[in-house]
Amino acid sequence: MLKKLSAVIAAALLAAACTGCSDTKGEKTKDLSAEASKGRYVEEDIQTEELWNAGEFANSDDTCFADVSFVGEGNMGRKHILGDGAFTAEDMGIVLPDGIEQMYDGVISPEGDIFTGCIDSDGNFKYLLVTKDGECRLMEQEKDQLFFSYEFSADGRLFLISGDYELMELDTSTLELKKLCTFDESPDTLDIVGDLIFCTSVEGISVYDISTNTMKEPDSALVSLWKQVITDSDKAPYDIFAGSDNDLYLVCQYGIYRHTIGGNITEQIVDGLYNSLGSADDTVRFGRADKDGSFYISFMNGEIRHYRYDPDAVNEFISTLDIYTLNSSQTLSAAVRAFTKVHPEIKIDLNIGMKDGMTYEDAVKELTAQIMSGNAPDLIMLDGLDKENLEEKGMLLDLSEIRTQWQPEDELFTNITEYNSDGGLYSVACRYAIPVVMGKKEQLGNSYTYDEMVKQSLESYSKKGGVANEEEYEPESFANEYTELLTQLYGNKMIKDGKPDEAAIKEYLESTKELISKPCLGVYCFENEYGANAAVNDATVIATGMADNAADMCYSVNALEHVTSVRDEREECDTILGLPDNPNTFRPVCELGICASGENRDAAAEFIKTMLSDEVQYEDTSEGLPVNCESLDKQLAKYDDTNMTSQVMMVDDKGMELMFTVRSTDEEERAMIKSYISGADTPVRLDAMTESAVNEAGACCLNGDISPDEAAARIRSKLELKMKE
Amino acid sequence: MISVEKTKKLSPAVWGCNTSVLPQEKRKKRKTGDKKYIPFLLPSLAGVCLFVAVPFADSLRRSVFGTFSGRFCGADNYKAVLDNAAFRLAVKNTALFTAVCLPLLIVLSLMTALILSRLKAVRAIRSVLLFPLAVPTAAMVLIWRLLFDDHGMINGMLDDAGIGTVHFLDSKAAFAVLAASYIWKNLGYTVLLWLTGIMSISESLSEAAAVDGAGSFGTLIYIILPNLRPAAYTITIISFLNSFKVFREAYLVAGAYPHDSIYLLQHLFNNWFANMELDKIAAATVMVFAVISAAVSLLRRVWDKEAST
Repeated sequence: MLKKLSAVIAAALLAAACTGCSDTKGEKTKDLSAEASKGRYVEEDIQTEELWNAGEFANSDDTCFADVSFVGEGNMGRKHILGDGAFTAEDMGIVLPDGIEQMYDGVISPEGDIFTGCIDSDGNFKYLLVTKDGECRLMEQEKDQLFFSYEFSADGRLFLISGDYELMELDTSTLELKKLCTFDESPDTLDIVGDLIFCTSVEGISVYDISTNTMKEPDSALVSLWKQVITDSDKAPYDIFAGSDNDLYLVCQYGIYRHTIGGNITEQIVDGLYNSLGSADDTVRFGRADKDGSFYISFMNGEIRHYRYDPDAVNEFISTLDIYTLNSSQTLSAAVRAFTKVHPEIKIDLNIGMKDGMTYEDAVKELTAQIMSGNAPDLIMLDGLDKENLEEKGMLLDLSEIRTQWQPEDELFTNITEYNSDGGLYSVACRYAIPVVMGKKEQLGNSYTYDEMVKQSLESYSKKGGVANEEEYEPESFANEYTELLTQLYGNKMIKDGKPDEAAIKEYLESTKELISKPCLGVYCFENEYGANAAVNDATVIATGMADNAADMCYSVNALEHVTSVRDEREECDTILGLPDNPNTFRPVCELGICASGENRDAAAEFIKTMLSDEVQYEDTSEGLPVNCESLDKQLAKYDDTNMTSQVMMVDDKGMELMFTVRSTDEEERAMIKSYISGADTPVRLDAMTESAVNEAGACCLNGDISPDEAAARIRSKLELKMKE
Repeated sequence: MISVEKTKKLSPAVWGCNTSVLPQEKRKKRKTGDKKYIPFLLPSLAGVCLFVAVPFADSLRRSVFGTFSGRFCGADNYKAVLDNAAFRLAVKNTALFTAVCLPLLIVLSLMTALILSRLKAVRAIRSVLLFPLAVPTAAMVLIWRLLFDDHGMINGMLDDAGIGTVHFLDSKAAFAVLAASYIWKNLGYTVLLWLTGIMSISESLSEAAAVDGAGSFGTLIYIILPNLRPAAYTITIISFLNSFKVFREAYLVAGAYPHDSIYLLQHLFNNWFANMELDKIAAATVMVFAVISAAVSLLRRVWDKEAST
């Protein structure tokens, strides 16, 4: 008996030990927030001159980091950041070949050779090798051959990724290219650490070993980190760079991470939440580790910052502000940064519900468990959550009494921030989007309906005789986006008092179904690099004459600039704000509510004040327009001094390049924008479950799986079930 | 053909009665013996108390108090639950599901077990029977989707046959799909339980019956089935409880708000939890517990009564 008992105990102990082992063996990322509070990395601006053409950092000697740009009349120059952080520019006295007008993304070898991209007077992309002796040679390339990324290895070899996803080596003496391997996916950057070349894309990492000329499996810890902070969060701007010894660093919006090659742990050493790394305005470009353990990071806007470990920096927190959000938000991150600067004594614990692959349902249940167990967050970002339910259950604090805390200082569009203040103010909308319609002037009348817009699109389509890429066009791929857009534009008309208006749903779906059955028409909605605003793309499509009308939501001033510039490009076309058949609507986003049972309600109120402040509102995110009047004015006038315009290129169905010049808004347009925003009084906001029910059934209908009638019935059935509960 | 008179003359052992009678002394010892077994019971008893009894007591308390007000509200929560249309729908669907699937599963599995028990390779087959249980729910859901999605294999075949698309997962057909899934998943396991019961019947009983002139049918009716009574009780209870576990599949395939026909009690509990309706969940839990307990007790009584006669 005793023997048996001992055996059971021994087995249990062994099992426990095994469990322990497996935990340490698995790859994991150590979160910085779990670290002790003494000593941390501090951020320092090291220069103010903008380096738009800055290439990747490279150290050509012990004292400087250099990037290459174009200086003076036909000469080439280098810009240095010295060891002490001072910034200098130097004319290298190298005369460039004729016709070279612009240089970008240069890299320097340890010996001082420079390889750089350049653009000639005809707009062709060329590549130039400048040796340390000043010899300047243009690389011979095949027609339209492009290189996404290139870098010198420690022994001076130059590796490149071609537009055909090939890893190549360029012989710097003969300028001959040698193909090393081809990737299945499309890597867009290349970084070399020791003998390993890391070719990366948002999708993942491929590793090539130069010493053995073979592909190698990347460390699972690194793959796991990549999935977590890059792939799953779709955070494209990033860089990986080598550190001392065998260390590899990844810098992205979430911070700087360290991984020792061959190891099974990655460690966050700088948290992007509290500094410029997480800023929407300053997305990262390149990173470099210095010998003293500090980092230099360059940003897309041309700025460079230094991250230095300060062992004396002590974080003494007197309280914690718990913030919950379903998804990460750039506005929220900006507010965290601004708040931490003013209130270093308050530690911010930002809990993102849907990270690490957590589903919406699970995240909501976790929040419920958190609230019900007495650990409610102090502040909740209500986007995607069932705000009405939280309000009904008394979970949210009535902000009516404390609204004065943020009102006197900043003039706000209170019709937006307090749009739902009937019977108490339970949330504050910190951003919003407004609908726009673009089209032929004579059509944009008072009674212009969605149905008419679709008909006009179809007419213009048939006049143009169809579009060439029809074979490649898959309406299914647009079904989700179109449904989501419909919900944003007409959600308030589709659902009234929680009940679906089946006739309206059917009508909108029928029209849209007809519309997406033809390619390259009206309502385009897919994300793009100009601020993830579909309106930007719509404006480009109309300005270049590829479509005649569109309706969409503007989530940024950048998008507004695009849509108001349409009239410059096509005289017969114009833009109006708001939908004629659904006037004065807006879509509130970034809504904040304070938890009634939260422990730090004062700090939460202070945080809302920060969120509405000019500092945060001015940040140009694609999450929504500013509710702070001053910030909106400043954003609209951002390029007044420079009179800056930008150009967007589009290729039409016949392969022709079409240019669209985007300018800043003029006085008249600004008055129109502000007038619309001031008068916006109809929020288009559905609760999460309703929106999901409409989107799911709508997408099935647009896909052709079910009829509009069936879709409307399906939505009704789900909502009825929800109401019965 | 075997007659009733003849069977009455069969020895008691043939009737499957428990012949292992303990000597009086041993029985006495077990009643008054030391309590050495108690330490072995304690861990599981503690587990049950900690994870079942205490939470249930808390649910009982919550069912008569308001979640947010904390005030005693008597039977208000129960009334609210009984007045709730979603609860009534979920109870109806769950009861219908159990009423349809339970007999179907028991009959099908028994028939399969009887057939398999005649095979020589039955021991080898037994492990195969557990495969459906070993399939992770996520993988099973994937297969479901492959089969029953609007663009799935079955719809592909129906389209080819010119029948057109059937929305299996968003129409009344969803109930049949869910029932089929439940039976597929539990059939092998239940067959195994039946097989264990069948194989535990002493061959001497069948042989004795054969000697007494019983044919296959007679042996089944008078020997095998009566001897399977304890197994039948266990199988019924397990299958009954398993019928409540089909929620995972339904939830993963059709989400929190599936078609009306497969909206089960667990959907309701899940949604109530997400919506923080804890007082309703507590009241409904107590009611469901009461119904299940009553059903199990009733079953036990019927069984005991049957056994005693």
